[in-house]
Amino acid sequence: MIERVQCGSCHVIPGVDWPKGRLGPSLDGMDQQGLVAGTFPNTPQNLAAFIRNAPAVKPGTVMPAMPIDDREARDVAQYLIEESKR
Amino acid sequence: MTEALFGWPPPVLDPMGPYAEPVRTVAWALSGMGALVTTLVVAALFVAWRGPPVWRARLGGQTSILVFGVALPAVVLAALLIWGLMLTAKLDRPAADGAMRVRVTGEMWWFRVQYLDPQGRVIAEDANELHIPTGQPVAIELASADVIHSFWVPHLSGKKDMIPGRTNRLTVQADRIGRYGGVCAEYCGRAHALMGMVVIAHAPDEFGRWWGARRAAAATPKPDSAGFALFTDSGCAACHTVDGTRAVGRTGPNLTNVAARQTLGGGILPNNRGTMTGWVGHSQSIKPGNRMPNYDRLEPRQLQDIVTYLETLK
Ligand code: HEC
Ligand code: HEC
Ligand SMILES: [Cu+2]
Repeated sequence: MIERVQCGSCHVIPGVDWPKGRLGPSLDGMDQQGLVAGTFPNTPQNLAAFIRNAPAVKPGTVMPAMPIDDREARDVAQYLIEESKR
Repeated sequence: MTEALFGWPPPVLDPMGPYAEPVRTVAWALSGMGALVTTLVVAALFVAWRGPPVWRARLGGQTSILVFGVALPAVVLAALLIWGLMLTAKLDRPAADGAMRVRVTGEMWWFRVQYLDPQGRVIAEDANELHIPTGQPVAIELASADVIHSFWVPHLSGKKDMIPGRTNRLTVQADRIGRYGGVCAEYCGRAHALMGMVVIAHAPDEFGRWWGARRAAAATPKPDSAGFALFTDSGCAACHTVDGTRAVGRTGPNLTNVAARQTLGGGILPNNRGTMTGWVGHSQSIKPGNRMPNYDRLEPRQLQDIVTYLETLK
């Protein structure tokens, strides 16, 4: 999923070798982080909502709505949390 | 791009047209010969090590050295060479007059794709993406703008070098609709491993529709917007062309229909708003060493405006 839409073009993502984009923040350690995008409490729901459509929950952010649906966004959120625990 | 190298069966062994067929035959023949020779050598080793004394003596004798060391290789290799040359000679057969013409130029580190009219004039320009109709040969002229690159779309043909100051000719044909990955197959500098492209084969009537849409895109004047002003003011226009505007730069890919492309950055990223933003803002972390600077000093709003403008280019 992360590779199909290439979130890596803006993020360094644990478990993804390439690309390691640096326009956005590194997504390593998402399980430990307090706030998502410095704005929302880091719950799986908030994380998934941000990943699904970032500008809708945080107007003005550079991170665009990515072409994925709700379920995929939840899976990606899950992945980020799991992968950071390793 | 990775689709050029991976997958099952491997693309080299999975020809999609007559100009790739001989490559498969040669590949199988060479693998077969390799296996045969390896078996013979291992068998001889075994005889030399454990075989009965008579066999060992015979194996070490002058006759076997002359036969297996000189005569056999000379005959077999000569035969293979002649056969291989005969097979691959077909690959150089020029396409008939009237075949579709394109020029693909290797640049560090992407492919400039130009569609030519029968007189060889450029009628449309694109990057890292070549659209062709199925079932007919397409004549490709291969050139280079800087160093030696090599054009390789394994489903459709063998490799052919792109040499500065020279035009090499290659013919390809796809007999089935589909999307075929290609890569640069000659080391050409830092971002060589991230230099790829795609060939998209349409059924002939579908190709006609695509071509119509492509021509219409080039003809429509592009809306002047905040994004376009930023595009020219930030220096993008010095390197990039958008047909029908004052952006006429030649260093980077033509962006006239960039939003309609399937990939970005030399066939390496899917094309969506996210990858487009990531590329424009920080292409150096995605494709280290590529010849476009980062634009991380733009305000988020400005970056978004530029990308919104780019997304209208289709
Ligand atoms: C255009 C570049 C871009 C793309 C593509 C992109 N993001 Fe982002 N992302 C950002 C930026 C910039 C931020 C910081 C946003 C902010 O704080 O407003 C961010 C923030 C985030 C955050 C919050 C990070 C934190 O530390 O709080 C997560 C999680 C995230 N992105 C996940 C993703 C996922 C998953 C994808 C792919 C579906 C993706 N992003 C695609 C640019 C991008
Ligand atoms: C110094 C010249 C230069 C400038 C300035 C420049 N670019 Fe580029 N751009 C390039 C080159 C070269 C490439 C191809 C890189 C590669 O794939 O190796 C490229 C690639 C791109 C691509 C990907 C095209 C594709 O089809 O893969 C986009 C989109 C793009 N540039 C947009 C911009 C925008 C927007 C700006 C201004 C904010 C800009 N460029 C400024 C040289 C430049
Ligand atoms: Cu190369």
